[in-house]
Amino acid sequence: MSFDYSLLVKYGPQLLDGFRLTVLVWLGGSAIAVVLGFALGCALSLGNCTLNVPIRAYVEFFRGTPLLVQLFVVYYGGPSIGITLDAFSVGVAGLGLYGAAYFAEIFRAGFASIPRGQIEAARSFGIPRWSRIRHVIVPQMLVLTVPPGVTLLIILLKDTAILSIVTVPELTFQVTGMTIETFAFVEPFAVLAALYWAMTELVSYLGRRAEVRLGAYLR
Amino acid sequence: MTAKEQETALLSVSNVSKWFGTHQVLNSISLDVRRSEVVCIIGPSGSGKSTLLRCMNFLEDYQSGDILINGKLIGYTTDATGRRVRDSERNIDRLRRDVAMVFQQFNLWPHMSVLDNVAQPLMLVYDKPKAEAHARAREMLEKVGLGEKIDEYPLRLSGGQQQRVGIARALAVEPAAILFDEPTSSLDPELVGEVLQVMKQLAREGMTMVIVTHEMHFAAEVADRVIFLDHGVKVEDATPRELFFNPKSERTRRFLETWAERNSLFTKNLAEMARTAPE
Repeated sequence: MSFDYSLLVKYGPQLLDGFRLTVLVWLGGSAIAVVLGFALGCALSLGNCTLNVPIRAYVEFFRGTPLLVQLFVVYYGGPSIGITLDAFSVGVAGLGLYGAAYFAEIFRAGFASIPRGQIEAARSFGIPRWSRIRHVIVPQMLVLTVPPGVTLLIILLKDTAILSIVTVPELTFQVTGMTIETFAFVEPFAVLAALYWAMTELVSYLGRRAEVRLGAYLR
Repeated sequence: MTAKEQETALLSVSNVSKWFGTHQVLNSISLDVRRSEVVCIIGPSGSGKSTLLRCMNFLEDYQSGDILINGKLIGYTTDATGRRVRDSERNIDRLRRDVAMVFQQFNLWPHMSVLDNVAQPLMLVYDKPKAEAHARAREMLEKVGLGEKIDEYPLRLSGGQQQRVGIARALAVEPAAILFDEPTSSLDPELVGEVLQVMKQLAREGMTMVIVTHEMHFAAEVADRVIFLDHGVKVEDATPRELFFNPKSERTRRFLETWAERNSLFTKNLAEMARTAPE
Protein backbone atom coordinates (compact mmCIF):
# COMPACT_ATOMS: atom_id res chain seq x y z
CA MET A 1 0.00 0.00 0.00
CA SER A 2 1.35 3.39 -0.93
CA PHE A 3 1.04 6.55 1.14
CA ASP A 4 -0.79 9.18 -0.88
CA TYR A 5 0.77 12.51 0.00
CA SER A 6 -1.36 14.45 -2.47
CA LEU A 7 -4.32 13.91 -0.19
CA LEU A 8 -2.55 15.85 2.54
CA VAL A 9 -1.75 18.69 0.18
CA LYS A 10 -5.34 18.84 -0.99
CA TYR A 11 -6.73 18.88 2.52
CA GLY A 12 -3.90 20.99 3.91
CA PRO A 13 -5.90 24.15 4.66
CA GLN A 14 -8.62 22.15 6.44
CA LEU A 15 -6.07 20.26 8.50
CA LEU A 16 -4.37 23.51 9.42
CA ASP A 17 -7.71 25.01 10.48
CA GLY A 18 -8.41 21.97 12.60
CA PHE A 19 -4.96 22.08 14.12
CA ARG A 20 -5.34 25.74 15.00
CA LEU A 21 -8.69 25.10 16.63
CA THR A 22 -7.36 22.12 18.59
CA VAL A 23 -4.61 24.28 20.02
CA LEU A 24 -7.07 27.09 20.80
CA VAL A 25 -9.66 24.92 22.48
CA TRP A 26 -6.91 23.16 24.46
CA LEU A 27 -5.32 26.42 25.60
CA GLY A 28 -8.70 27.88 26.56
CA GLY A 29 -9.85 24.74 28.36
CA SER A 30 -6.51 24.32 30.13
CA ALA A 31 -6.51 27.93 31.32
CA ILE A 32 -9.95 27.45 32.88
CA ALA A 33 -8.91 24.08 34.31
CA VAL A 34 -5.73 25.39 35.94
CA VAL A 35 -7.22 28.60 37.33
CA LEU A 36 -10.48 27.05 38.55
CA GLY A 37 -8.65 23.94 39.77
CA PHE A 38 -6.20 26.10 41.71
CA ALA A 39 -9.02 28.02 43.35
CA LEU A 40 -10.86 24.82 44.25
CA GLY A 41 -7.68 23.12 45.48
CA CYS A 42 -6.91 26.12 47.68
CA ALA A 43 -10.44 26.17 49.04
CA LEU A 44 -10.31 22.44 49.82
CA SER A 45 -6.94 22.74 51.55
CA LEU A 46 -7.21 26.09 53.29
CA GLY A 47 -10.88 27.04 53.38
CA ASN A 48 -13.70 26.25 55.74
CA CYS A 49 -15.58 22.97 55.83
CA THR A 50 -19.02 24.13 54.72
CA LEU A 51 -17.64 25.23 51.38
CA ASN A 52 -15.95 21.86 50.95
CA VAL A 53 -19.21 19.97 50.50
CA PRO A 54 -20.28 21.55 47.18
CA ILE A 55 -16.69 21.57 45.94
CA ARG A 56 -16.27 17.88 46.67
CA ALA A 57 -19.58 17.18 44.93
CA TYR A 58 -18.33 19.10 41.90
CA VAL A 59 -15.01 17.22 41.84
CA GLU A 60 -16.68 13.84 42.27
CA PHE A 61 -19.19 14.50 39.50
CA PHE A 62 -16.71 15.72 36.91
CA ARG A 63 -14.19 13.03 37.74
CA GLY A 64 -16.83 10.35 37.92
CA THR A 65 -18.57 10.80 34.57
CA PRO A 66 -17.14 10.62 31.03
CA LEU A 67 -16.24 13.89 29.35
CA LEU A 68 -18.36 12.86 26.36
CA VAL A 69 -21.45 12.50 28.54
CA GLN A 70 -20.80 15.87 30.18
CA LEU A 71 -20.52 17.47 26.74
CA PHE A 72 -23.79 15.87 25.60
CA VAL A 73 -25.57 17.11 28.69
CA VAL A 74 -24.49 20.72 28.08
CA TYR A 75 -24.69 20.74 24.29
CA TYR A 76 -27.96 18.86 23.81
CA GLY A 77 -29.57 19.32 27.22
CA GLY A 78 -28.49 22.95 27.70
CA PRO A 79 -31.02 24.60 25.37
CA SER A 80 -33.95 23.06 27.29
CA ILE A 81 -32.88 25.04 30.38
CA GLY A 82 -32.02 28.13 28.41
CA ILE A 83 -28.29 27.61 27.94
CA THR A 84 -27.50 27.76 24.25
CA LEU A 85 -23.81 27.73 23.46
CA ASP A 86 -21.99 27.29 20.19
CA ALA A 87 -19.89 24.18 19.79
CA PHE A 88 -16.58 25.95 20.43
CA SER A 89 -17.75 27.47 23.73
CA VAL A 90 -19.14 24.13 24.85
CA GLY A 91 -15.77 22.59 23.99
CA VAL A 92 -13.71 25.12 25.95
CA ALA A 93 -16.07 25.20 28.93
CA GLY A 94 -16.51 21.41 28.96
CA LEU A 95 -12.79 20.75 28.82
CA GLY A 96 -12.15 23.42 31.46
CA LEU A 97 -14.74 22.17 33.94
CA TYR A 98 -13.64 18.58 33.44
CA GLY A 99 -9.94 19.40 33.85
CA ALA A 100 -10.57 21.66 36.86
CA ALA A 101 -11.89 18.70 38.85
CA TYR A 102 -8.60 16.86 38.33
CA PHE A 103 -6.47 19.95 38.89
CA ALA A 104 -8.29 20.59 42.17
CA GLU A 105 -7.18 17.16 43.35
CA ILE A 106 -3.62 17.67 42.10
CA PHE A 107 -3.30 20.97 43.95
CA ARG A 108 -4.95 19.54 47.05
CA ALA A 109 -2.40 16.71 47.07
CA GLY A 110 0.36 19.30 46.56
CA PHE A 111 -0.77 21.23 49.62
CA ALA A 112 -0.91 18.05 51.67
CA SER A 113 2.65 17.09 50.79
CA ILE A 114 4.33 20.12 52.38
CA PRO A 115 5.98 18.79 55.56
CA ARG A 116 4.22 19.97 58.73
CA GLY A 117 7.51 20.92 60.32
CA GLN A 118 8.14 23.66 57.78
CA ILE A 119 4.81 25.25 58.57
CA GLU A 120 5.49 24.92 62.31
CA ALA A 121 8.83 26.65 61.85
CA ALA A 122 7.03 29.55 60.17
CA ARG A 123 4.44 29.64 62.96
CA SER A 124 7.13 29.57 65.63
CA PHE A 125 8.49 32.86 64.27
CA GLY A 126 5.03 34.39 64.30
CA ILE A 127 4.86 34.57 60.50
CA PRO A 128 1.15 35.31 59.83
CA ARG A 129 -0.98 32.67 58.14
CA TRP A 130 -1.29 34.47 54.83
CA SER A 131 2.48 34.94 54.56
CA ARG A 132 3.02 31.28 55.46
CA ILE A 133 0.75 30.25 52.62
CA ARG A 134 2.25 32.67 50.13
CA HIS A 135 5.94 32.31 50.91
CA VAL A 136 6.33 28.83 52.37
CA ILE A 137 3.53 26.62 51.09
CA VAL A 138 2.41 27.74 47.64
CA PRO A 139 5.83 28.04 45.93
CA GLN A 140 6.74 24.49 46.92
CA MET A 141 3.26 23.18 46.18
CA LEU A 142 3.45 24.56 42.64
CA VAL A 143 6.78 22.83 41.99
CA LEU A 144 5.48 19.51 43.31
CA THR A 145 2.43 19.73 41.06
CA VAL A 146 4.38 20.27 37.82
CA PRO A 147 4.75 16.56 36.88
CA PRO A 148 1.12 15.52 37.49
CA GLY A 149 -0.04 18.86 36.06
CA VAL A 150 1.82 18.31 32.81
CA THR A 151 0.40 14.80 32.54
CA LEU A 152 -3.08 16.20 32.93
CA LEU A 153 -2.43 18.88 30.30
CA ILE A 154 -1.39 16.11 27.91
CA ILE A 155 -4.54 14.14 28.69
CA LEU A 156 -6.64 17.26 28.07
CA LEU A 157 -4.84 17.83 24.78
CA LYS A 158 -5.75 14.34 23.59
CA ASP A 159 -9.29 14.64 24.94
CA THR A 160 -9.93 17.57 22.61
CA ALA A 161 -10.52 14.82 20.02
CA ILE A 162 -13.76 14.01 21.84
CA LEU A 163 -15.04 17.50 21.03
CA SER A 164 -15.39 16.41 17.37
CA ILE A 165 -18.49 14.48 18.47
CA VAL A 166 -20.22 17.71 19.50
CA THR A 167 -19.19 19.22 16.13
CA VAL A 168 -16.26 21.39 17.23
CA PRO A 169 -14.37 21.58 13.90
CA GLU A 170 -11.00 20.72 15.46
CA LEU A 171 -8.37 18.41 14.07
CA THR A 172 -10.10 15.07 14.58
CA PHE A 173 -13.34 16.51 13.19
CA GLN A 174 -11.54 17.64 10.03
CA VAL A 175 -9.78 14.33 9.58
CA THR A 176 -12.99 12.39 10.06
CA GLY A 177 -14.60 14.55 7.39
CA MET A 178 -11.65 13.85 5.13
CA THR A 179 -12.03 10.08 5.48
CA ILE A 180 -15.72 10.25 4.66
CA GLU A 181 -15.06 12.21 1.50
CA THR A 182 -12.07 10.22 0.26
CA PHE A 183 -12.55 6.75 1.72
CA ALA A 184 -8.86 6.95 2.60
CA PHE A 185 -8.23 5.95 6.20
CA VAL A 186 -4.54 5.24 6.56
CA GLU A 187 -3.14 8.61 5.53
CA PRO A 188 -5.54 10.82 7.49
CA PHE A 189 -5.35 8.86 10.72
CA ALA A 190 -1.59 8.38 10.50
CA VAL A 191 -1.21 12.15 10.12
CA LEU A 192 -3.69 12.73 12.94
CA ALA A 193 -1.79 10.46 15.32
CA ALA A 194 1.53 12.04 14.34
CA LEU A 195 0.21 15.55 14.95
CA TYR A 196 -1.18 14.71 18.39
CA TRP A 197 2.02 12.94 19.27
CA ALA A 198 4.14 15.87 18.16
CA MET A 199 2.06 18.25 20.24
CA THR A 200 2.11 16.07 23.36
CA GLU A 201 5.86 15.53 23.02
CA LEU A 202 6.37 19.27 22.91
CA VAL A 203 4.24 19.77 26.03
CA SER A 204 6.05 16.95 27.76
CA TYR A 205 9.45 18.41 26.84
CA LEU A 206 8.50 21.84 28.16
CA GLY A 207 7.14 20.20 31.30
CA ARG A 208 10.39 18.36 31.93
CA ARG A 209 12.35 21.57 31.51
CA ALA A 210 10.09 23.39 33.93
CA GLU A 211 10.44 20.53 36.40
CA VAL A 212 14.23 20.66 36.28
CA ARG A 213 14.44 24.41 36.50
CA LEU A 214 11.81 24.99 39.21
CA GLY A 215 12.85 21.98 41.27
CA ALA A 216 16.56 22.83 41.28
CA TYR A 217 16.49 23.24 45.05
CA LEU A 218 15.55 19.59 45.51
CA ARG A 219 18.78 18.31 43.97
CA MET B 1 10.74 32.22 95.07
CA THR B 2 11.45 35.83 95.88
CA ALA B 3 9.63 38.71 94.26
CA LYS B 4 12.77 39.76 92.47
CA GLU B 5 13.21 36.33 90.90
CA GLN B 6 9.58 36.29 89.88
CA GLU B 7 10.08 39.59 88.16
CA THR B 8 12.97 38.35 86.10
CA ALA B 9 11.35 35.09 84.97
CA LEU B 10 11.31 35.31 81.21
CA LEU B 11 9.40 32.11 80.74
CA SER B 12 7.12 30.94 83.47
CA VAL B 13 5.34 27.61 83.34
CA SER B 14 2.95 26.89 86.16
CA ASN B 15 0.86 23.79 86.75
CA VAL B 16 0.61 22.98 83.06
CA SER B 17 -1.25 19.82 82.15
CA LYS B 18 -1.96 18.43 78.75
CA TRP B 19 -3.79 15.42 77.44
CA PHE B 20 -3.74 13.73 74.05
CA GLY B 21 -7.24 12.24 74.21
CA THR B 22 -7.31 10.34 77.50
CA HIS B 23 -3.53 10.07 77.72
CA GLN B 24 -1.99 12.67 80.00
CA VAL B 25 1.33 13.82 78.55
CA LEU B 26 2.07 16.68 80.95
CA ASN B 27 1.12 16.48 84.59
CA SER B 28 1.01 19.80 86.39
CA ILE B 29 4.45 21.01 85.36
CA SER B 30 5.94 24.17 86.76
CA LEU B 31 9.25 25.78 85.93
CA ASP B 32 10.74 29.21 85.49
CA VAL B 33 13.42 30.30 83.09
CA ARG B 34 15.20 33.50 83.96
CA ARG B 35 17.11 35.78 81.67
CA SER B 36 20.45 34.35 80.46
CA GLU B 37 19.66 31.01 82.02
CA VAL B 38 20.38 27.75 80.19
CA VAL B 39 17.91 25.04 81.14
CA CYS B 40 18.26 21.51 79.80
CA ILE B 41 15.35 19.11 79.85
CA ILE B 42 16.23 15.42 79.84
CA GLY B 43 14.23 12.25 80.18
CA PRO B 44 13.25 9.05 78.39
CA SER B 45 11.39 9.24 75.09
CA GLY B 46 7.69 9.74 75.59
CA SER B 47 8.28 11.60 78.83
CA GLY B 48 6.77 14.80 77.42
CA LYS B 49 10.00 16.84 77.02
CA SER B 50 9.33 17.95 73.46
CA THR B 51 5.64 18.51 74.12
CA LEU B 52 6.50 20.79 77.05
CA LEU B 53 8.93 22.75 74.91
CA ARG B 54 6.39 23.07 72.09
CA CYS B 55 3.81 24.36 74.55
CA MET B 56 6.20 27.17 75.46
CA ASN B 57 5.55 28.93 72.17
CA PHE B 58 2.13 27.40 71.72
CA LEU B 59 2.90 25.05 68.86
CA GLU B 60 0.91 22.75 71.13
CA ASP B 61 -2.06 23.86 73.19
CA TYR B 62 -2.45 22.84 76.82
CA GLN B 63 -5.58 22.21 78.82
CA SER B 64 -4.75 23.71 82.19
CA GLY B 65 -2.14 25.85 83.87
CA ASP B 66 -0.40 28.97 82.60
CA ILE B 67 2.60 29.64 80.41
CA LEU B 68 3.79 33.23 80.60
CA ILE B 69 6.23 34.83 78.22
CA ASN B 70 7.54 38.05 79.76
CA GLY B 71 4.62 37.91 82.12
CA LYS B 72 2.01 37.53 79.39
CA LEU B 73 -0.12 34.40 79.07
CA ILE B 74 0.39 32.71 75.71
CA GLY B 75 -2.41 30.95 73.87
CA TYR B 76 -5.38 31.91 75.99
CA THR B 77 -7.38 34.88 77.07
CA THR B 78 -10.46 35.44 79.18
CA ASP B 79 -13.78 36.16 77.51
CA ALA B 80 -16.59 38.45 78.78
CA THR B 81 -18.00 35.72 81.03
CA GLY B 82 -14.60 35.08 82.60
CA ARG B 83 -14.07 31.79 80.82
CA ARG B 84 -10.70 30.89 79.38
CA VAL B 85 -10.76 30.83 75.58
CA ARG B 86 -8.15 30.46 72.86
CA ASP B 87 -6.49 33.76 72.04
CA SER B 88 -6.52 35.20 68.53
CA GLU B 89 -3.81 33.98 66.15
CA ARG B 90 -2.62 37.57 65.95
CA ASN B 91 -1.94 37.82 69.66
CA ILE B 92 -0.37 34.37 69.77
CA ASP B 93 1.92 35.28 66.88
CA ARG B 94 2.94 38.48 68.62
CA LEU B 95 4.00 36.68 71.81
CA ARG B 96 5.78 33.99 69.82
CA ARG B 97 8.19 36.56 68.46
CA ASP B 98 10.05 36.54 71.76
CA VAL B 99 10.86 32.84 71.70
CA ALA B 100 12.47 31.42 68.59
CA MET B 101 12.72 27.71 68.04
CA VAL B 102 15.29 25.28 66.66
CA PHE B 103 13.94 21.92 65.54
CA GLN B 104 15.18 18.35 65.51
CA GLN B 105 14.48 18.09 61.77
CA PHE B 106 15.83 21.62 61.13
CA ASN B 107 12.60 22.55 59.32
CA LEU B 108 14.34 24.92 56.96
CA TRP B 109 12.40 26.04 53.89
CA PRO B 110 14.06 24.07 51.07
CA HIS B 111 12.96 26.33 48.21
CA MET B 112 14.76 29.34 49.66
CA SER B 113 18.49 29.97 49.71
CA VAL B 114 20.24 29.74 53.05
CA LEU B 115 20.34 33.53 53.17
CA ASP B 116 16.60 33.83 52.51
CA ASN B 117 15.83 31.22 55.15
CA VAL B 118 17.42 33.50 57.73
CA ALA B 119 16.21 36.78 56.24
CA GLN B 120 12.59 35.81 55.56
CA PRO B 121 11.23 36.00 59.15
CA LEU B 122 12.79 39.46 59.45
CA MET B 123 10.98 40.60 56.33
CA LEU B 124 7.66 38.86 56.97
CA VAL B 125 7.32 39.50 60.68
CA TYR B 126 9.31 42.66 61.33
CA ASP B 127 8.81 44.30 57.93
CA LYS B 128 12.54 44.87 57.56
CA PRO B 129 13.58 46.05 54.10
CA LYS B 130 15.29 43.39 52.04
CA ALA B 131 18.78 44.91 52.18
CA GLU B 132 18.69 45.24 55.95
CA ALA B 133 17.31 41.73 56.44
CA HIS B 134 19.97 40.28 54.15
CA ALA B 135 22.75 42.13 55.94
CA ARG B 136 21.56 40.85 59.28
CA ALA B 137 21.13 37.32 57.91
CA ARG B 138 24.66 37.37 56.49
CA GLU B 139 26.01 38.49 59.83
CA MET B 140 24.22 35.67 61.67
CA LEU B 141 25.36 33.07 59.15
CA GLU B 142 28.95 34.23 59.56
CA LYS B 143 28.52 33.90 63.30
CA VAL B 144 27.61 30.21 62.95
CA GLY B 145 30.45 29.68 60.49
CA LEU B 146 28.41 29.52 57.29
CA GLY B 147 29.37 32.78 55.61
CA GLU B 148 30.46 30.79 52.55
CA LYS B 149 27.16 29.00 52.11
CA ILE B 150 24.66 31.84 51.90
CA ASP B 151 23.67 31.17 48.28
CA GLU B 152 23.26 27.40 48.65
CA TYR B 153 19.96 25.64 49.01
CA PRO B 154 19.52 23.95 52.41
CA LEU B 155 19.25 20.42 51.01
CA ARG B 156 22.76 20.73 49.60
CA LEU B 157 24.22 21.20 53.09
CA SER B 158 25.15 18.56 55.64
CA GLY B 159 22.84 18.01 58.61
CA GLY B 160 25.18 19.90 60.90
CA GLN B 161 25.30 22.86 58.54
CA GLN B 162 21.52 22.82 58.14
CA GLN B 163 21.08 22.91 61.88
CA ARG B 164 23.48 25.85 62.14
CA VAL B 165 21.33 27.66 59.57
CA GLY B 166 18.40 26.84 61.86
CA ILE B 167 20.24 28.46 64.74
CA ALA B 168 21.18 31.51 62.65
CA ARG B 169 17.53 31.86 61.64
CA ALA B 170 16.51 31.81 65.30
CA LEU B 171 19.22 34.30 66.28
CA ALA B 172 18.39 36.75 63.52
CA VAL B 173 15.07 37.79 65.03
CA GLU B 174 16.80 38.76 68.29
CA PRO B 175 14.58 36.61 70.48
CA ALA B 176 14.54 36.89 74.24
CA ALA B 177 14.99 33.11 74.40
CA ILE B 178 15.60 30.19 72.05
CA LEU B 179 13.92 26.82 72.47
CA PHE B 180 15.92 23.85 71.16
CA ASP B 181 13.99 20.64 70.47
CA GLU B 182 16.58 17.85 70.37
CA PRO B 183 18.81 19.89 68.06
CA THR B 184 21.39 17.14 67.52
CA SER B 185 19.21 14.01 67.60
CA SER B 186 18.94 13.62 63.85
CA LEU B 187 22.61 14.30 63.13
CA ASP B 188 25.41 11.90 62.30
CA PRO B 189 27.58 11.53 65.41
CA GLU B 190 30.42 13.30 63.61
CA LEU B 191 28.31 16.41 63.04
CA VAL B 192 26.95 16.78 66.56
CA GLY B 193 30.05 18.62 67.77
CA GLU B 194 29.84 21.57 65.39
CA VAL B 195 26.26 22.29 66.47
CA LEU B 196 26.98 21.95 70.18
CA GLN B 197 29.97 24.26 69.71
CA VAL B 198 27.71 27.01 68.39
CA MET B 199 25.23 26.45 71.22
CA LYS B 200 28.00 26.66 73.81
CA GLN B 201 29.08 29.97 72.36
CA LEU B 202 25.51 31.29 72.63
CA ALA B 203 25.35 30.16 76.23
CA ARG B 204 28.59 32.00 76.99
CA GLU B 205 27.18 35.14 75.40
CA GLY B 206 24.24 35.02 77.77
CA MET B 207 21.46 33.81 75.46
CA THR B 208 18.50 32.39 77.35
CA MET B 209 18.06 28.82 76.20
CA VAL B 210 15.75 25.91 76.92
CA ILE B 211 17.17 22.73 75.46
CA VAL B 212 15.57 19.31 75.18
CA THR B 213 18.50 16.99 74.71
CA HIS B 214 20.00 13.54 75.12
CA GLU B 215 23.53 14.98 75.19
CA MET B 216 24.34 14.54 78.87
CA HIS B 217 27.89 15.82 78.59
CA PHE B 218 26.64 18.95 76.96
CA ALA B 219 23.93 19.42 79.59
CA ALA B 220 26.48 18.91 82.36
CA GLU B 221 28.79 21.45 80.82
CA VAL B 222 26.51 24.32 79.83
CA ALA B 223 23.28 24.03 81.79
CA ASP B 224 22.54 26.22 84.76
CA ARG B 225 19.72 23.85 85.60
CA VAL B 226 18.73 20.39 84.42
CA ILE B 227 15.19 19.15 84.57
CA PHE B 228 14.39 15.45 84.51
CA LEU B 229 10.97 14.57 83.16
CA ASP B 230 9.30 11.16 83.28
CA HIS B 231 5.76 10.26 82.22
CA GLY B 232 4.85 13.93 82.03
CA VAL B 233 5.96 14.62 85.59
CA LYS B 234 8.82 16.88 86.59
CA VAL B 235 10.82 14.47 88.71
CA GLU B 236 13.79 16.65 89.43
CA ASP B 237 14.94 20.22 88.81
CA ALA B 238 18.47 20.95 90.00
CA THR B 239 21.92 22.13 89.04
CA PRO B 240 23.78 19.69 86.77
CA ARG B 241 26.12 18.80 89.62
CA GLU B 242 23.25 17.83 91.91
CA LEU B 243 21.16 16.12 89.29
CA PHE B 244 23.90 14.09 87.67
CA PHE B 245 25.94 13.22 90.75
CA ASN B 246 23.53 13.33 93.61
CA PRO B 247 20.05 12.74 92.20
CA LYS B 248 17.32 12.82 94.80
CA SER B 249 14.92 10.54 93.05
CA GLU B 250 15.36 6.83 92.44
CA ARG B 251 13.87 7.28 88.96
CA THR B 252 16.51 9.84 87.97
CA ARG B 253 19.24 7.59 89.33
CA ARG B 254 18.03 4.64 87.23
CA PHE B 255 17.77 6.77 84.10
CA LEU B 256 21.32 8.06 84.52
CA GLU B 257 22.68 4.59 85.30
CA THR B 258 21.15 3.18 82.14
CA TRP B 259 22.65 6.03 80.18
CA ALA B 260 26.08 5.64 81.79
CA GLU B 261 26.09 1.90 81.15
CA ARG B 262 25.28 2.40 77.50
CA ASN B 263 28.07 4.92 77.18
CA SER B 264 30.61 3.31 79.51
CA LEU B 265 32.70 1.98 76.65
CA PHE B 266 33.61 5.48 75.54
CA THR B 267 32.96 7.60 78.60
CA LYS B 268 36.20 7.94 80.48
CA ASN B 269 34.44 8.24 83.77
CA LEU B 270 31.87 10.27 85.55
CA ALA B 271 34.59 12.06 87.48
CA GLU B 272 35.61 13.71 84.25
CA MET B 273 32.11 15.11 83.99
CA ALA B 274 32.20 16.16 87.61
CA ARG B 275 35.34 18.14 86.94
CA THR B 276 33.88 20.10 84.05
CA ALA B 277 30.42 20.66 85.52
CA PRO B 278 29.84 24.17 86.81
CA GLU B 279 29.15 24.66 90.51
